[in-house]
Amino acid sequence: MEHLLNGFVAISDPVVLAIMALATVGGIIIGTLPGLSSVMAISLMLPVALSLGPTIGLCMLGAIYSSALYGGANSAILLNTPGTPSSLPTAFDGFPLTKQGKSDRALYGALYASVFGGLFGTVVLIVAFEPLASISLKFGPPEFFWLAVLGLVAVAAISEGYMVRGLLSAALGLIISMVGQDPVTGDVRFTFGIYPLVAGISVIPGLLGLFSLSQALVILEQKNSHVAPYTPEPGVLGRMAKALARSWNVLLRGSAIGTVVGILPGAGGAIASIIAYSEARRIDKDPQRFGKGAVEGVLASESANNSQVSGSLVPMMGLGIPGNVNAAVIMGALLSFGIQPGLGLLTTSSDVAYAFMASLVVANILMLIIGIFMVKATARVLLVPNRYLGPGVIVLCIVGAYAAAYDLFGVWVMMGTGLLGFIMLKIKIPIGPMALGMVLGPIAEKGFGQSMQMAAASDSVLQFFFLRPISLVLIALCFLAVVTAIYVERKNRVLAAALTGSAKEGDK
Amino acid sequence: MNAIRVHVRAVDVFLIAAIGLSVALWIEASALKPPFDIYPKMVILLVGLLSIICLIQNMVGDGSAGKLERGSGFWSFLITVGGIFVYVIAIDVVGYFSSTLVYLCLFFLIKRWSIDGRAGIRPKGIAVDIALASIVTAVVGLVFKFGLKLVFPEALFI
Repeated sequence: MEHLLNGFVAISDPVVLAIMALATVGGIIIGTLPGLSSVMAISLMLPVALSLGPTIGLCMLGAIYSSALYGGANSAILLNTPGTPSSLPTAFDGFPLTKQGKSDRALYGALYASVFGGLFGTVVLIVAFEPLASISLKFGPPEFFWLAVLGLVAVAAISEGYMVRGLLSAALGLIISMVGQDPVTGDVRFTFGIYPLVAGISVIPGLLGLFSLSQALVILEQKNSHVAPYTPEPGVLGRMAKALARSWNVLLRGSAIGTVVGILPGAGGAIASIIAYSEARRIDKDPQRFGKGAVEGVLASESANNSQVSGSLVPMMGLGIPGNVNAAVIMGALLSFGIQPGLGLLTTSSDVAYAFMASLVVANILMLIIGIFMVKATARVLLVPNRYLGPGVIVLCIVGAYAAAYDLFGVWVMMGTGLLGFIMLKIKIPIGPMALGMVLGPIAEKGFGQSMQMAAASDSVLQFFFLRPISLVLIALCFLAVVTAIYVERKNRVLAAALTGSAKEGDK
Repeated sequence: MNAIRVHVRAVDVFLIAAIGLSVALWIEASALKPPFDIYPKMVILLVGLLSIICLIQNMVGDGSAGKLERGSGFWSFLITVGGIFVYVIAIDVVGYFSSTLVYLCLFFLIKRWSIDGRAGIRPKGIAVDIALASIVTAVVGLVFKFGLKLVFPEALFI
């Protein structure tokens, strides 16, 4: 406790707070811009962080990490283009709310949920990171394979009315992720002689095309003059605070899922938000509301998304195993400062460690204050006419894809996935599962390949793959996700038939 | 003689292409070393099977799921996509700033004309479009070039 208080004192300096505030504004803007991910923001600011010293530098990186992940929700809600892969499920209900003219509700909901999730995760990081870190050590390759499968099945199953199409989309995403080198052997496959494909299809340009370019093409095709109506709602700030109090269970569940998934190395925010979203939908009394503008969907996704920020730092700080790419970059900063991550961090550089943890609490409070002022400005993007917005997004997509891949091949990848996404939107094949397939594919394949190698040395492949306790739980959850989706789909069909029948009788 | 009418929908063409892709990938995967060919083959098989199930679902369903959402037309779409292709090539040849400015100006004007008709093309409207195109080009370019230290492709002009 004394160390933590010292940490708060260390970051109470006005210069540190000003740097964190600037980092928060920058993080929100970068997160909002489609194609610019949190990892890109953190990486770009690494040289600046190194020049500021370990305490201030890490506080700045923590603030960017938290705010960029929250910023991703803004474009997901307003433009149906998630700024970061982890805000993907936020778009499922956020964009329908925007189309209904209730974007304020979704934006404030996302902000509150992000702050709640962020604080929840940070408290967990402070209180229990040592025992929690030990859980992630129990995850081996088969568990990672099943975790990725659970993430994919969960998202495919929530493609309401189109479950098979959702699964097909996820499988196509896995195909895209297989292009290039095998993650275990390094053998090159599925490149069809195209040399730049040897390095694989980069995820950021791919996602940029799939979500942003396809959406820009849809915007340009529309005859409406604006993306959606924007009507500022007076008193929405207070109303959302009350709604938040009513949805405390959704927030708590989302934050807990986000923290636990964040702790697992390699799992990341995309899985956390997807699982939290599908759980919120599964448990809700009226799951049909989800996907059509249920604010609880936004709350679940965003609370999980931001709680995994601190979760991902648990194994990195406790054991030197980064929970995700963002944590890996922050670990790189620690190493550059000459600080060895792991338990040594708490013994030799405990001042830096506790200042960093305290800064995550402050970063979330700053995010709330700055976010409240920035929400209205962010929502104004809806008032930009389509004829300006569409080409503007296309320019951002092209420059963003070039920045992510550092060559024009990345731009062509973005174009390819953009056109594919546009076609899929037109023929009503959901693009969300494909994106998840692209992100989770390498994790699933690596887990599968390593499991096969390890299973060869054990007595039974079946036992190694299916009968380990954590694997069994994950397999059961996969089945539960599919069975629930089939049950909900059948229930919907019966309900729709009943409604059609009663309407016909009414006509007579 | 009864004529058999075959309805081929866009979604069916997509699904048939997915089946074709899975066949091509399966042939490619046959060269992989076991046991590292199991995962790719499993995924390829999954794509093929799910595409066939979707096709069957479309055939036995009411067809509403396969209906194509109509937009503003084929030619408009072709101009948009063709314009993006030319713009990407132009960035490499001409440079970011000049190609983006020209692309945005032309696009804004074409869209203004297609939405508002000839009445929309007035000197004031053209000036607004050019000013906005210049601002967007400059802001995006400068933020990426100086803020994020991005090196644009070397080209004839800036």
